[in-house]
Amino acid sequence: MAGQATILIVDDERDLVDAYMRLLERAGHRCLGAFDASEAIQLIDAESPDLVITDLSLPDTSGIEVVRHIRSKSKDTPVIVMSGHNTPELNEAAHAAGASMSLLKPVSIAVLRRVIAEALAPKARA
Amino acid sequence: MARNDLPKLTEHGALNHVSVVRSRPVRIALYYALGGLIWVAVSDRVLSLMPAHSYDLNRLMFVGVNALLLYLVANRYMKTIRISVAAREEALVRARGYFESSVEGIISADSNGMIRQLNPRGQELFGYHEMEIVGQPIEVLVPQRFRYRHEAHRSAFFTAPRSRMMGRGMEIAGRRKDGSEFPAEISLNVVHTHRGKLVIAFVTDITERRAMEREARRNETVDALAAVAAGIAHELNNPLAVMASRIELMLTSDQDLSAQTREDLLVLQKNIERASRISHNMLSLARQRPGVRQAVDMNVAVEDAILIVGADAKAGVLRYDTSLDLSLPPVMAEPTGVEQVLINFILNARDAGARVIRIETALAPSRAGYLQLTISDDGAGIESSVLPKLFQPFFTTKAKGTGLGLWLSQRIVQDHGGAITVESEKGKGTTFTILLPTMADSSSDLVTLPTADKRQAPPQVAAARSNQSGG
Repeated sequence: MAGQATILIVDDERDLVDAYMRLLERAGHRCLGAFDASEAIQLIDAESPDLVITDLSLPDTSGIEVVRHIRSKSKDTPVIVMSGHNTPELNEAAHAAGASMSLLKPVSIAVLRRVIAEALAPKARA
Repeated sequence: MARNDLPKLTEHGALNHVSVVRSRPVRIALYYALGGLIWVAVSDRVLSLMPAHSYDLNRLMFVGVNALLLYLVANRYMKTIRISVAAREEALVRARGYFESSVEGIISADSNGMIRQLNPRGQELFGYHEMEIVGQPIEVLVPQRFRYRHEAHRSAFFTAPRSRMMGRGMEIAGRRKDGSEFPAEISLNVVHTHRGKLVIAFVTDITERRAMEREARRNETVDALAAVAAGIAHELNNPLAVMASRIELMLTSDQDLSAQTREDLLVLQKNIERASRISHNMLSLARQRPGVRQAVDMNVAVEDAILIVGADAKAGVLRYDTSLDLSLPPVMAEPTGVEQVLINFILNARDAGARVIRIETALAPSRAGYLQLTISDDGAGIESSVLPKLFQPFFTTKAKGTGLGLWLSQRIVQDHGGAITVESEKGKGTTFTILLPTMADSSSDLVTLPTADKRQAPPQVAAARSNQSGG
């Protein structure tokens, strides 16, 4: 177990954020939820999460802004972007902004767990 | 003008030359007459200067000069004729060459619409031998339903002939000897010969071009449909994700669930996964450009795909045999695309009632720089009549199929510079062979993102050489 990591989940689908938070809390993580980019940016500033999972289409602005914001603060915090559109343009934009990886929605819980474990693993080793 | 012996090398150059040769004797006769006239005048003068007793000498000279004049003129005439004949022969040989080797069918017909000649390509196109078609009306080569109209057009054409395309803007077709038809493009040309007008028609079989146009149109339709499908899939993603996560929450909660409830939730979970997969497929339809590529180990991809599908397999029916060449170089590919292709093939085999699915990887024996992946099953097999349609979009033999799996798989493989072939026998099973280019230098261009595809393969299939799992 990677132990107590603070994970920020950003998605405008409240039901989804809620479910992911509960699932990850059950795995022993501390979870934060945000439903739009500005809320996410506030939480990043206030809480410095260890991992950020963000949707790309958010009500106020693109999730890419969230990625940029976290990169402006930290070089190595893993950022996982989720998107309903798997277009190469979006993927490239997300990676250019500094996303660690991108997933196509809907992301199965199993995949999410594995990806989170992998993303947090190098940090635990360091 | 006199030296301009070589004819213009058009298809009717030889015919033009005939008239050139014909005009020459007249001119030569005129020269001779003129030469003779001058000689008579000159000789009259010469005679008057000569003594009266040299009459015999005079007569001799007169005959001699006349003979010389005749010889010169005849020689000139013969030379002209020889050059003309040689040039004419050459022109004929050339015209014959064009005619024989043309990639277009060439038909010539006289003003009564009777076929005079049909070149080899034309014979090939229409299925007639030249011997059996010459002398027949040109309408023999026209489909029945156009014949009446064609005759009217033909008469009109001969009253005011000019080179043009036939039936501009209309579908025109040629009729073969066996009654079948082919779409054609025909250009008409008129040639004037000493025996009257000839119409020369150039015929191109445009079956292939038509097929390409149809394909392009169908692709447009498919793209439009794909965009709609992707839009719907996108809207479905969030609700599906919410449902999947809630079910997961219930299944992993601490509360005791009754066995029935647990089973119900598992069924729900499985079906949501199925819906997600359909949705993913629909989304990939609209994909215009391939996504991020990275080095993919096909052996790992095969094992992953078996794991993903294997979990779904109805118990006891299915077994996987794998024979993996562990020394294979990686391919530069989009991991999700490769996974999707493999899953599609495994699901197809399963839907065909396969009991054993055999997957092999190896370096392609027939093609350097490619790896070969074969997926064989012992399922129902595919009717040979269906094989050509197998990769068409929306073609399916399954009651619940979308008809997109194989089409999509082929598109993905082709996007990666590969190819898919299929062999099947009804009742015996099917083998799909996928060829993919391997990476020339496996150390270059690696995308160093952590991804789901770099995970370790589970031990039961990892070191497989004719390994069996599932069952």
